Amino acid sequence: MEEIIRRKMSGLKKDIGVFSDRLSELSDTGNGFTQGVGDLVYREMKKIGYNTVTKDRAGNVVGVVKGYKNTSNLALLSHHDMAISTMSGTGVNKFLAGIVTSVFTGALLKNTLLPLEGDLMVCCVPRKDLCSFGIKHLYENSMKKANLKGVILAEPSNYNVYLGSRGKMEYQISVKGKLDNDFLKTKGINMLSVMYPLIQELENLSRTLPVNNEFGSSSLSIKDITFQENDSSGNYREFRIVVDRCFTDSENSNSILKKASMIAENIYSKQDGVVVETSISNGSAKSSEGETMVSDKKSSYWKMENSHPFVTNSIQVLKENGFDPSIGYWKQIITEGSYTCGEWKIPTIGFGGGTEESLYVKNTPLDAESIERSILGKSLIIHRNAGIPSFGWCEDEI
Amino acid sequence: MKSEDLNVLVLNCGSSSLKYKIIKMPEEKEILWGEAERIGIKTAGKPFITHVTGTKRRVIEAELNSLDDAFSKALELIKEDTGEDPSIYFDIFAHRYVHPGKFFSSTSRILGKDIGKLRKTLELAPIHNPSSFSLIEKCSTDYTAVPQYAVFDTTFHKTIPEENRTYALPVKMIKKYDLHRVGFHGISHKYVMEEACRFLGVDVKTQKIISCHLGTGGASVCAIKDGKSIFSSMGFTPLEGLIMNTRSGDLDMGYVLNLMYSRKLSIDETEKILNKKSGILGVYAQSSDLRDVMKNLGKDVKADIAFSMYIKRIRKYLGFYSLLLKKPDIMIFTDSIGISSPLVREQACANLEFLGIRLDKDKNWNYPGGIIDAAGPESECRILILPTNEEVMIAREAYRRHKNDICH
Repeated sequence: MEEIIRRKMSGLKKDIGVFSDRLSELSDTGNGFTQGVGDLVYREMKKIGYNTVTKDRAGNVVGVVKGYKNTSNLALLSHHDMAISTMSGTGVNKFLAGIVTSVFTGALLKNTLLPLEGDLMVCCVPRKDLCSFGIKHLYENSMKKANLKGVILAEPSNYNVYLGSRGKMEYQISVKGKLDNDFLKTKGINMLSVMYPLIQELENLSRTLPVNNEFGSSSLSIKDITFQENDSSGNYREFRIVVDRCFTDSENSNSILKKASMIAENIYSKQDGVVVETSISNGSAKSSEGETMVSDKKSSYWKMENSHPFVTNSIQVLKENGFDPSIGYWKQIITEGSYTCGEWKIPTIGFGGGTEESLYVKNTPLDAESIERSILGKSLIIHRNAGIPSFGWCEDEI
Repeated sequence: MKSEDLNVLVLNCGSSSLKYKIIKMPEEKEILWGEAERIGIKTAGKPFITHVTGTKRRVIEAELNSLDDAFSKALELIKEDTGEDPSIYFDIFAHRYVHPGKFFSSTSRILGKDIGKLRKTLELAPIHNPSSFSLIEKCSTDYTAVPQYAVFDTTFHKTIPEENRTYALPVKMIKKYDLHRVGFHGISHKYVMEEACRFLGVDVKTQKIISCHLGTGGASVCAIKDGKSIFSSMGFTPLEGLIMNTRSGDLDMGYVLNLMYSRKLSIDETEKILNKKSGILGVYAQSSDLRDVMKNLGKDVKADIAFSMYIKRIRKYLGFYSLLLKKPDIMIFTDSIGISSPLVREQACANLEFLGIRLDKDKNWNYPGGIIDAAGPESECRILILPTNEEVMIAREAYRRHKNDICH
């Protein structure tokens, strides 16, 4: 039956090319681009003949290839970034390839007519920075009910099976006090002397962060520093440091926030009337459907057990079909696995062509061969994990 | 046109092909035929349709991305033919459908309410049923005025008695998972049974028949008593029974389990070995085609062994069925190997005189085509060489059912 999948792949080449070109031609900015991607994916899924195609208020487009038993439901997730400035810039292809391969993995499986036990949900979700608006909305509104057996992330893994990514968060430390208590009584350079101890402590912390063999180092970087007068009289002043943090298994967003709070309080709480507050940053965006969405800027660390049957079956079928996959982890990018596996505990793996590094190379064209190989690999994985076995059956002639 | 005349459009599809034929019933006259190939495949060559009406043969390259495309194209070509010759048309669709499970026990007219039942059968023949199902579904929505019938490959074997049908496994498991000998090639076995009896002028209900359907791909042997299948060499799936091109056929399950354990083979790897890498290919290694094996007999030890194993497996069933039937009245060889290989027939029938089977050497080696009785004058058993025609059988079944439906 894998021969059927391989053979039918050839019949999709032309359509894949046309769709890839159309996607690449989209060059609007902001929500215009998001809207364009969503609409294009929606139309293509309809044309292919997905059993149902929907677009929700968050801008998620979901095409379903119906299974026959309503068990072993799987989701194939790709994302598109909201509010990027241009199609040809850095980071663009990281989602284009994912979208093309996802949409046509569903097409390939449909064309083979090989029955799946459960439904395949092919989801294209919007994301902005660290705010995964799309996936959260999708989970609450449909994915939760789907009782998923597994999720496949259409992210670059160089044809390996990736099983996790680092956690990432953005938090802010706000230190405020009254001017009559001599807090931040001067502005400009002199003001920095008040902030300096905290900046130095954060710097020190960044040098002692844990290193993980699989995911690399955790990291801390100061993203922004702001100063503001908090009331109209200017008597109440505040400085705020915004921190970007990446972390792995030994930390989580709560422990990181607690640590940051402790450091700041150690420095400033001795001063009268000074208040230290830490919080996770949040972001907002307007979806292509006009919905305003707000989200914390945090993504959990996640890692799948490599002995999980979803993983071993996937590795096995790839090996049997000419791939040479090994287990790997994303060291730079953040994925929707932070939610699907990290928070909702759904078995999740990632598979795709290309490398993480290639995401940061400008103007990389979509590589047709890589896309086809990636579609084939994803289809094989899905069929092995959710297809109805054909033991004892050969193609065509009985 | 007589009132009982009916043109049947027979549809037989695979994963990448669609064969179609209009057969005028009841005279069983072929009006046109065609085959769409490489559906959804575009490598070196494009998908194409061969369409033949009388002496006019057309080969047309077309965008055939799906079975739906191929079907639409075929109907378009038929419509063109109708424009030129009004006698070219069809009244009903007749689909070959491999495995209906417990949902249908005979050729059936498929109405809207039956689609749901058919959907439940997809997993039973996961490579074949979905293709036929998708066409039936299309016909039920796009061609509502044309009655459609499903002719099943397994229902001929519904008559296999319980003791031959079941497996020696825990009865609870048998019941829970509906494990039983299904048997395949039923349309072919039924066709040759009917044709053999017609040719010999005997009543099918009184005959004991062994039907050997020996294809280049799949092969099975069926024991038929009084018009009913009582055993098939193929079992729950087509893997059991004879040695086939890439399929092992009968095997010691203990060895399979041992192999999986000692070589740490997955279920899928094991299945691939049994289904795709065994049989003729497994033993001979250089080809999966028995005809290649036969070309190298006496020159290549592997060819000698492969051929000997192939023949002995057939003889295992001939012996068993002869006991089951208490000597056969008729033995039939059909399908590509069964028709084209006198050596296979000769070796399969060798030294079976004690079972009443004596092949006439000259008749066997000088087969002129069509139906012949190749039995020797002293043979108690008629030995027929008889080309199968599944499309005619499908048309026949659909026609009979349609007439019956109209009468009732």
